[in-house]
Amino acid sequence: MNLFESFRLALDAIRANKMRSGLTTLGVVIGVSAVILLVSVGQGMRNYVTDQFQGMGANLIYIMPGDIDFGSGEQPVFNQKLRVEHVRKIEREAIYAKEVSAGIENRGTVKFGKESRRPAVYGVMANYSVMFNYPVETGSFITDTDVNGNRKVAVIGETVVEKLLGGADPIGRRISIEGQKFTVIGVLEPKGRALGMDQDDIVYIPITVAQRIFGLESVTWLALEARDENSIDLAVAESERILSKSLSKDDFSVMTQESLLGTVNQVFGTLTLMLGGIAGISLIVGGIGIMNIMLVSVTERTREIGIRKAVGAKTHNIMIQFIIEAATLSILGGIIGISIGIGGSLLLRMVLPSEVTMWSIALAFAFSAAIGIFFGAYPAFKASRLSPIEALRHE
Amino acid sequence: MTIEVKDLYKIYSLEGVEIHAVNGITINIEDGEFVSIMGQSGSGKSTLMHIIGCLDKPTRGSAKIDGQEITDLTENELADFRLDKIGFIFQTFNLIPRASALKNVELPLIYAGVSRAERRERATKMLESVGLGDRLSSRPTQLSGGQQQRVAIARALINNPKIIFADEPTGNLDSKSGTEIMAILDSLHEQGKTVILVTHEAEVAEHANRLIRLFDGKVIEDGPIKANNTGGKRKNELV
Repeated sequence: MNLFESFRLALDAIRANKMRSGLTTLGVVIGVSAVILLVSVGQGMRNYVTDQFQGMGANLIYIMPGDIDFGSGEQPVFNQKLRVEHVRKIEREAIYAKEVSAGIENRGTVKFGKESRRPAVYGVMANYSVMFNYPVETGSFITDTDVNGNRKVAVIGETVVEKLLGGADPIGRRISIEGQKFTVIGVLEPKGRALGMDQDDIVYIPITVAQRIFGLESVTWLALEARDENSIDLAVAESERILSKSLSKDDFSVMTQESLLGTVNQVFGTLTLMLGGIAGISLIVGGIGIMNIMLVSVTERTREIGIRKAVGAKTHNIMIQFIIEAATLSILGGIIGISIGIGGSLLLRMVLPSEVTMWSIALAFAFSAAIGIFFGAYPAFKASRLSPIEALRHE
Repeated sequence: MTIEVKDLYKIYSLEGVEIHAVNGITINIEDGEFVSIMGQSGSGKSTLMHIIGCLDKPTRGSAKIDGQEITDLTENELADFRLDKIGFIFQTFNLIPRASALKNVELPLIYAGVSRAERRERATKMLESVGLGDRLSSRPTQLSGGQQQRVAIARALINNPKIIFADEPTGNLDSKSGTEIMAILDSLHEQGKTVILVTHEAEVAEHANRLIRLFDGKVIEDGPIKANNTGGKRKNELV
């Protein structure tokens, strides 16, 4: 008796109990689709964030306040000791840094006429637009003169133009930010939405002005651009040396695009595994459901097993028949689950970045087959060990 | 194909009480014989049949079929023995309920490794030979008792066994169907097969040439069938 025969027998048995087979399979369907869906979300987020970092320019070095090196495994330290004067220091002393910048990230109340909203209000320097490849569409970006002269000028995003100014030509308009009057001098190129956030709901103002209106001394970040690819490591060492003169090791964290990508990959890799693992638990629950039904099935079909043995079935014929039946159930569930998982992931893509990975499909499929075989093994073993006489007497 | 049974015992323990279902039986059955085994219920006739039918193992003693000591065989070797040499006909037919007549008859051939096409062909011919050529795709529940038993006979014969065991084959049938089934058993005997019939009905037992009567797990009578020596109840006496 070959495997193909066993497979046909399994399909016959499954067809004979459509409702029950369907419900049993449901557990695996849910498990497999959950694995694929959650892994696709994890993978999609990781790819998205990776893309974001890569779009920022390879030679950028970020300096964040506090000790937040995720890769080190140490407890992070949060403090706010980075200042604009550190930018000046690096600018003066550094050889390998081409551009140095800093920014303040906050939210603020912005008003125009009767309209009011709370977009992101970022205080930046003149080189921000170039360093982060963030050009204006119309008008101009903040200049050094604006920063040094504490000029109340603003560059705004598309959403602010539409929602606050009602789509009117914004250049030269006066808007109020945190109660102070600003002149709009430019509009940024739209960037769209990311991770549910509208990146165009934003207002840029000179960093010096931002410090005053928010009453802040510290900055949210420093960034520098190395002269070229080869001087990244030198620029990192150099900036660390300069900052260490006035700050302790815990007060700042230097990150390159490479190290950030490493961290992102690590964080999202763990996240993806965790999501997959949680979904995997439901697969195991599904497997237990299959085992349960197979045990019922063996009891119900004791007489059939007796008949098969009486006409010459060997122990392994019975064993294989029931294992194949369990495996067929769970593989069927696996196939349906994969379709639902892929479909769901495509639907989800409308709101979240999600990417179906081949390995999650392969893994879910292999896992569902393995679960069928594993959880089918005990009932199958039980069936194969029945004595033909006992089995035939069974009512 | 001869069957030689020597000092055979089968002892069960049921709730602490030892039951000697087969209690020292020695018999020889020659190739091509038609034997009836009679006895009251509990006399051990079914147990004896199960042991020489390779379905059950004795507690001790020897049983040889065609010179092969079957008490030495493993479970899987016994399965092969059943597959190749033995056909069973049961009182309750023992057909697989959700399989068609054809699939039921094909069953032994699946385990014999016969190809699908050949299986189909042989099973169809076999069902035609028992007069069910038009009921190939019927399920057991769609067939009368007599038809079901004929399907069971077709299944018993499909792998061309040398020995046929029939355990009360007419027990669940009306007299007309019973007569038909016995006619088939008679013809199998004429074809040279060894037929071993377990029954408590005199009219059924009288189809055989030899009668073995059991009582309390022992042979108490063994000889050729003579009219009215079967001692069982006759159908017309039941009324």
